[in-house]
Amino acid sequence: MVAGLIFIATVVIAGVIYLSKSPETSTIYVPAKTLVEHYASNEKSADKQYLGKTVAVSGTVAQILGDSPYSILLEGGSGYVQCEFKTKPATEIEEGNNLTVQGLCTGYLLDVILTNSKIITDETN
Amino acid sequence: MSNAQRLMDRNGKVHFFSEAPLEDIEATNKQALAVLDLSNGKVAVSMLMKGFHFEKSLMEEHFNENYVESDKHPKASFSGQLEGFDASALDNITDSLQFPASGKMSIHGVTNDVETVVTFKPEGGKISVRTQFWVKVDDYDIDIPKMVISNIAEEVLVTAQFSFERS
Repeated sequence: MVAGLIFIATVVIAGVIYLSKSPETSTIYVPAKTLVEHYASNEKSADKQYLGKTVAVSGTVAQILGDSPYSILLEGGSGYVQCEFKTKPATEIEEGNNLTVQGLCTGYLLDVILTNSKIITDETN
Repeated sequence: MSNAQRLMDRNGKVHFFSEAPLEDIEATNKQALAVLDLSNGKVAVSMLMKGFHFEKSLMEEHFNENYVESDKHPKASFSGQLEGFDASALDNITDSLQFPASGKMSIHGVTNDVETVVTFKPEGGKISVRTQFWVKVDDYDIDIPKMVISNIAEEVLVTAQFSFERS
């Protein structure tokens, strides 16, 4: 009886935690070009989909912008995705590398902007 | 217009600070975009509100959700003019140079006329540009709940810093 109640309580709590967390913590996978095209064609609709969300953006490194903060541009067709890193990645990044960068999408200026970025897959080797 | 007539920084740093009785409030954005048109001294700066990072994530959440409502108003911007600006003065810059700037600043969907002074200084091979001014949160309809009002000063000191490659 007690064990049954504990089991039910655990399932309910786990369910609540899952439901309350899933919209914020799920990562949206998107190619840099798709993300840039969406923002360039309709910023409001793109904001609805990506603003404040964690996104994993795949693309080719177009430029290393600098070291403070460490940031790079990913090629996105008509524009770029600018990724600011919390800490400089351990792997040396070069222009032309294909990467997937995960970060928080904060919106669109000249580039689509990611903050608190980190590399989740790289093809530098 | 060719690129050489414009200086641009994608990694401008904008910091704000507010001394408050219980707890100082400060945050930094390191991805502000600044463009200076060398032909006429026009300046455009924009930044994303969600790009401001606080030491405490709870404070960052309050800032975004309750105060600046960054889902509704994702950007802040300044668009204005450096008075008496002469691009040739930057060519041989050895010491700091100052220009008054005036223009329109938009935060939280509200636009106000603002004035400030902008300082140009050589730094390494680059030109560093800095300005500092006070912003009254009330001027931008930023509504701070009574529960925390004793925790928030009505004015915040904004410091913006940019670095331009010499063309």
